[in-house]
Amino acid sequence: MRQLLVILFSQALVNNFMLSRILGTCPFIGVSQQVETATGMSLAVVFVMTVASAITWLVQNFILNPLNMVYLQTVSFILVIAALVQLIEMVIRKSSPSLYRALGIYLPLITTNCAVLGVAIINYQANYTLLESAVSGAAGGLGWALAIILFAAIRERQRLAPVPRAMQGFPIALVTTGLLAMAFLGFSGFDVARFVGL
Amino acid sequence: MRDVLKLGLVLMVICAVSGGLLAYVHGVTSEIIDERKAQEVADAMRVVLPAAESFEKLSDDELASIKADPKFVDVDEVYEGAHDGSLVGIVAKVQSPGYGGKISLLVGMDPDLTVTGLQVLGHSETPGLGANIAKPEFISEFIGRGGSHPLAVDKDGGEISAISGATISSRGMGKGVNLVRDLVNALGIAGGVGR
Amino acid sequence: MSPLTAFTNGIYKENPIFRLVLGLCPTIAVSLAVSNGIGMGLAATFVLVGSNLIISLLRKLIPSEIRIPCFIVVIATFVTIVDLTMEAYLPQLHQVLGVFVPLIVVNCIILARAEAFASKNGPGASIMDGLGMGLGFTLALAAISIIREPLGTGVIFAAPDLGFDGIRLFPAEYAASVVTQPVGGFIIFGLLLGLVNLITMKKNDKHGC
Repeated sequence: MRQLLVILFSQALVNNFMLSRILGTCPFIGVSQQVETATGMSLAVVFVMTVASAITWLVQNFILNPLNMVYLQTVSFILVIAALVQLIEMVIRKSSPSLYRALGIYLPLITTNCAVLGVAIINYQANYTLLESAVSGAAGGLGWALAIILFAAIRERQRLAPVPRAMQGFPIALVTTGLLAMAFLGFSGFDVARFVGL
Repeated sequence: MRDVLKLGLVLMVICAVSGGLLAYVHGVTSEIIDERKAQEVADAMRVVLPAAESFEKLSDDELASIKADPKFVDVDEVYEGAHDGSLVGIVAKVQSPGYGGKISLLVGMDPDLTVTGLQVLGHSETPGLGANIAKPEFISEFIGRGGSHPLAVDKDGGEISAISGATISSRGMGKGVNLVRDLVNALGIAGGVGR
Repeated sequence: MSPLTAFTNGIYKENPIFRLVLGLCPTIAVSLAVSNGIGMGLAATFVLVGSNLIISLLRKLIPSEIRIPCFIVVIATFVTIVDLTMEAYLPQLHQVLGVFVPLIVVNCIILARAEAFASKNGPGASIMDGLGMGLGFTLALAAISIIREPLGTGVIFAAPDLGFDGIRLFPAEYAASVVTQPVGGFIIFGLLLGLVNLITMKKNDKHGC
């Protein structure tokens, strides 16, 4: 249990996927104009990262490892993730039209969100169990969600600020991300293990 | 229906070609990669325990029985180093808590509990401060020390000069070394008596 | 489009990083040293050229319903080839680039070129497009790293795999290590992008458009 808490805090805050590991930047900048859309994207990412972590763990441990074909990891993980995203899209469309309206347009974008493939590979390298992988995926997604929602709130206010013409759009967004990353740097001294009493 | 079959067939052919190609590339590169990794481990062990001429890795069962003691969960690998058939020390790969995360260390120690060598294999300490633990100047603080008493940094009344501004990282290194010290004691090889 | 314009297009007019602003994660994560930037850039170039060529050759055989999974398999194959080869021959670079080597597979530039160019053009033009985009990516990474490496470490052009320690410009104690952190990466890349915008705007103003 405590081990899971350590994974939760370190994946979500200390090694924040966006601001510390730098994974998932394109959707981070692209879908952060408004808090509302950022929240929709976040929900989709948390969901896909959790499920993808579990599924890729199964693929790794029940197919690739027994067959001694770890070199097919990248190919099989990305195919599994692409298929998974398609499947989730179909299921949601059939079962819950309202959820589909909220998440539908974000789902296809998630296949190329490197945080998803990234968390699958990081879980493998950290040698996590199935449960730990799923927690790591969920925590990674939540950390990414926290970052993008904070960022979207900043950008909503930034629209009122007089930004020099050359810095408008991407440049100011990147500098703002840098400042947000600086705030999250504060977590790097955070002793997760002691915090959860390990 | 025929369409679905055709689509599946095309995708299958592409995947099969890809798999075959990668199997070939893997076959060519894996030998080089394995050889290099084995070489790196061998080189590192020779550096941290120069007195030994041969190393024997503790089996998975033996390691599992060591790790059953919660004190030793952070021990990853243990090798016994021998010279002319007699045990001259051990090399252990251990993790110890640093400031930014775990520090991965390779520690060589002789049966008198003296540190014979030390290598930082990996860490995520702050660049410019804690990251200096990997520098030879700091590592040399440990080598030849130990023996009768556990190591500690100067702030805790010990003999290791901690890196200024990075006491936690420095303490982490000390903890890793002391873990190996406990391990040598627990293995019953302290004092130069073979098992 | 002629092969030559396909080539130069990626280097300046549609530079993937400074103009299209694609593939940001590796751009910021690996631009800590010039050798890393160039290594990453060349790895991506190999994948771009390879996948563009194969996809262009297969463009008439791949049914459009399953083109995306087919493209992904082709790209992932080239990425794995690069991954294994780099681990064998350039181990230190492989270690530094870490998870970003397999992640080339989700680099938006590569799928975007497959979809927008290679699936519509012949193999010759597609190779040139891949080369141009790849070199544009490499040059942009080199440009960012050439600023971050000395500021962050005081050394420039260090290349551990080639056994070269780099040229020390000033002692390490004066280096701002925050530049090597994500913070420095985002801010420096943001400012550079602003500078490129400024230059383009000046040029356009002169032409009166």
